[in-house]
Amino acid sequence: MSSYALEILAGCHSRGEFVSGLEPVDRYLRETARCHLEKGVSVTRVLVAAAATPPKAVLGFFTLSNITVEAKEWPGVPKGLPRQAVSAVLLGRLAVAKSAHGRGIGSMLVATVCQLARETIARTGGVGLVVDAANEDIVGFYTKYGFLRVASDSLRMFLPAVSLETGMVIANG
Amino acid sequence: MATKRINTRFPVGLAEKIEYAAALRGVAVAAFIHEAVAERADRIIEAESHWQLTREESANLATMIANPPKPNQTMLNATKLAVGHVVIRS
Repeated sequence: MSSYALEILAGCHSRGEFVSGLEPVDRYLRETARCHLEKGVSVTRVLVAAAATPPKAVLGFFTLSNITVEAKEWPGVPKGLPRQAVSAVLLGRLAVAKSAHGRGIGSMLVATVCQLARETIARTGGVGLVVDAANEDIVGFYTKYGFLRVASDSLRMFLPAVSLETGMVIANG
Repeated sequence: MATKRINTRFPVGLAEKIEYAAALRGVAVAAFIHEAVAERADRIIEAESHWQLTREESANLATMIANPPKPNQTMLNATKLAVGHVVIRS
């Protein structure tokens, strides 16, 4: 039986008490995430104990949205990639409650993000998963999972769609 | 135009800097703040929905897409952990 459940953020979740240590991220969960969900800007999912009852303590959360990626040119690629904008999945925020550290919650959230991104791309297309890291420490966190920096001076990271697919196949193999 | 009040206070030093910059631009302080904040808000919203690649970014992205990295052991362990312990309800 699963220990944890991933649910779309709703009124039954106790988001006001969530503390990750990154105040802008905590404030986003408290004040903005549900508004963005209702307006279709992004979808925030929270991880809770599978047996939790309302108000459910939030152990971690992440926010996904769609992003269009556009390049004037794709240098160094013989066949080239499309000049028109292509889509990708954007992981805008991911955080773990301080009270839930040491349980592998961050790892499970990253893996679940990859699974959802893979499913979205399989349904509607996309070149991969884009991650906006909040700072250099968080760049280090995503680097451990194989995400690659898109530029030397950027906090934006990327994992191609094929890598997402391969990860799921190997893990299930 | 409908308006909405956003209450905020500025440290004295910042307020004086804003007043000075608005005077240099030759506009009222309120108009200067509106313009600056609107520009910043547009940039943030744009960054969350559209990504115009720089030359360095497009070169790097093209390389990653053409040579996708194989999942490392950390990612594989995380995937196994999630498959075994997380149920996606919605």
